[in-house]
Amino acid sequence: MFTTGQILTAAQMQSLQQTAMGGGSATAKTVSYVLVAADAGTTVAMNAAGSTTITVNTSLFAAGDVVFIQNLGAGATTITAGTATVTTSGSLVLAQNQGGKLYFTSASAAIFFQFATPASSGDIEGVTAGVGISGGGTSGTVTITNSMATTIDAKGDLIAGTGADTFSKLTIGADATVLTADSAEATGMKWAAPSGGGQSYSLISTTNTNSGSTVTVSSLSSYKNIIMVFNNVSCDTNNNYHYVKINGSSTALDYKQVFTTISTPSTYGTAILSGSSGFNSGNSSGITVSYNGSATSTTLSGYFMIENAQNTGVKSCFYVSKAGAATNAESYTGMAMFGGAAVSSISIQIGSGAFQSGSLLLYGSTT
Amino acid sequence: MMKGNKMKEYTEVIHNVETDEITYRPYTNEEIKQAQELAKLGAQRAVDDEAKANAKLALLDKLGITAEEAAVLLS
Repeated sequence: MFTTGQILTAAQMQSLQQTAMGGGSATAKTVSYVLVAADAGTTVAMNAAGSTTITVNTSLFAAGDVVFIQNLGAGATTITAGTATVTTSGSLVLAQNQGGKLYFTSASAAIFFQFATPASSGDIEGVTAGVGISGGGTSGTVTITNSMATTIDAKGDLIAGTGADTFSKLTIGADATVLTADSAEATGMKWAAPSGGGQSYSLISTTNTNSGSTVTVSSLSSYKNIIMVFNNVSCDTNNNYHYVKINGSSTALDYKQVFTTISTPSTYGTAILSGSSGFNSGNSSGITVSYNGSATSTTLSGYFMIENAQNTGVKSCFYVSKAGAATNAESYTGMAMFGGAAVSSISIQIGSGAFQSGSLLLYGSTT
Repeated sequence: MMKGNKMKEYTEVIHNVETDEITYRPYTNEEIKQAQELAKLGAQRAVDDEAKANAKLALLDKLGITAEEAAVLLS
């Protein structure tokens, strides 16, 4: 410690420059070392072929003390917290020719400020093209090219895998063809004319029509196209019209009978139309599909079909019926449009009395 | 809403195809009113049909021919 009254000699100043300021001869170490109080203000240089440690303990240094550490040897030197704590934002492991300053913030804690590593370690020495990329180089400005992109030559070209890390171009097919998996092709697929498809109906349910004035089949939201078959449906009261209702709607504008032909027992089967009606203005009762005339034994057969039932817009309907042979019974054939919401239920309804026999068969397709 | 008991006029029979459950729902007053309007249409239709049939018979009688002979004339 330099005290009041002492004179700083030239030799002392030189020593100060050579040691406490990091210059001059460093304390050479060849094996792992534990710092001592006298190391304050000096440079500790490790020079060993193998790995070594420099251990830092408490109660040896005061706040503000500094120890410079450098590694001259091939073996890595690790600054190790002994009883003191050592923190750093860099690394406590010093490779050959790396170093830094250990600065004590208290008798028991130090921070290691690592000198920047040589810039040459981050240099890019070359760019090599990987899979799907071409170009590259080891000096100057290099260019790399996306090989997949340059494989495309024309509108509609597709890049298709041909194996691990390989690909080739699949040229667009003819209009209206569809992309089809084909393991015999190099790319595993080809453009081909569509096959199959179309609607495939299946029987959803059978509902008896032996009671009630309205019979409804519900929970149809998963069916795109629906056919309701009237299977010998009859009611216990004559002079009844049969109406088809969708979603229970009583909104007249939801139902538009575009065209209806009406035939009576004396005319159906002979293709003679006894009556017809054109586009109507809607009917809150639904779509009229038959009239049972003057006998309760009159049975209704036929079907009602609605297409694209889950569309939110107008949906087309087709119906055909054959009423029994009672006087004045009427059979209806026609087309209608339903303007309500997506179809969730379909009903058949009469105005008076109740249904007494027969059934409704519901067929649906989900495609 | 009832389950399992059949009801007749002014009842809606609902078959849920997902659960295969059948329920019976009585009409609301508004629905009964609408059904009665439909019944009137049918009744009026019956009256009209009868009047038309009577007029037809009267005409055939006046002409002195049978319905079958009239059909031949119109064929």
